[in-house]
Amino acid sequence: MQILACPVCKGELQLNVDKEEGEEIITGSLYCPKCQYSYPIVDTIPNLLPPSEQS
Amino acid sequence: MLQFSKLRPMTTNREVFDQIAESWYRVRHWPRLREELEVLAQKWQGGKLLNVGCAHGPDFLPFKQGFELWGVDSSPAMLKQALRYSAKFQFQVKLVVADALSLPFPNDSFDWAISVAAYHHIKGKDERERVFMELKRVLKPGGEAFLTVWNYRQPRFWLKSKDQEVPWRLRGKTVYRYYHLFSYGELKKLLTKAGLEIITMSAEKSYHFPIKNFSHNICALVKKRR
Repeated sequence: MQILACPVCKGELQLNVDKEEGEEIITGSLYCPKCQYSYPIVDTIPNLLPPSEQS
Repeated sequence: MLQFSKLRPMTTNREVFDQIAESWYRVRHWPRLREELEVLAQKWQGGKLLNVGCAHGPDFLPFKQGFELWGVDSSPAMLKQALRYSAKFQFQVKLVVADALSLPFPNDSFDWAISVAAYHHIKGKDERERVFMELKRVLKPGGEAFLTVWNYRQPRFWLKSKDQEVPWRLRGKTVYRYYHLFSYGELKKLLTKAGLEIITMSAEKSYHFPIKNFSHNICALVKKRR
């Protein structure tokens, strides 16, 4: 996950894990402290669409 | 074009691809430009590879050995199909829902990038300029990208507008995907403007007519200068 960055400011993201299986994160979020926005991880796939496109 | 939009409620390509993801998995089960991609896999020989607009993931197949694979697509439903596809063909890929205009990676992240038939879905002239700058940003210096878009001058679109809504039949209803059709000159100009060095621009290998201008696809191999 270290390679992922905020799609807006390209800054580092903080990982929060809600549910994991083995080494795989099933649900959780990636938080950008600079933009103060939390991007969801759903079914192992992070959704890093910019906030304006998150539906 | 305007009339089309009046008749139909505005649907983004992301919403359309979410709807057609499952049928895409079945109908587009193999890489369409396999030969081109196999040549690149031979040439590149491993490293970190980003697939922009990877959909359900068939274009990863030629790279499944030796590469660290990353795929982005704006459609979550397509990426769900990509999980299924990678499980079926037994390869590891990291998938992220993302917009090609705002890639969620730091500068200089990838050795290589591929993008098969994705960039022609980018709407807006400014956006088409920015999207290649964004691709360049995430490539490492010396890194290469192979991308393909649909050609404006293929006979199917003669005398039509460069901006098209292309139908896809889905269980009795028709959905429309937005395409911006490129000419060779236009793509070259945009890639150059983004600061990418053009290595080759050509038709797909399966196209045998001597004049490349009428090919279905435009295939470009570009490089980020060191």
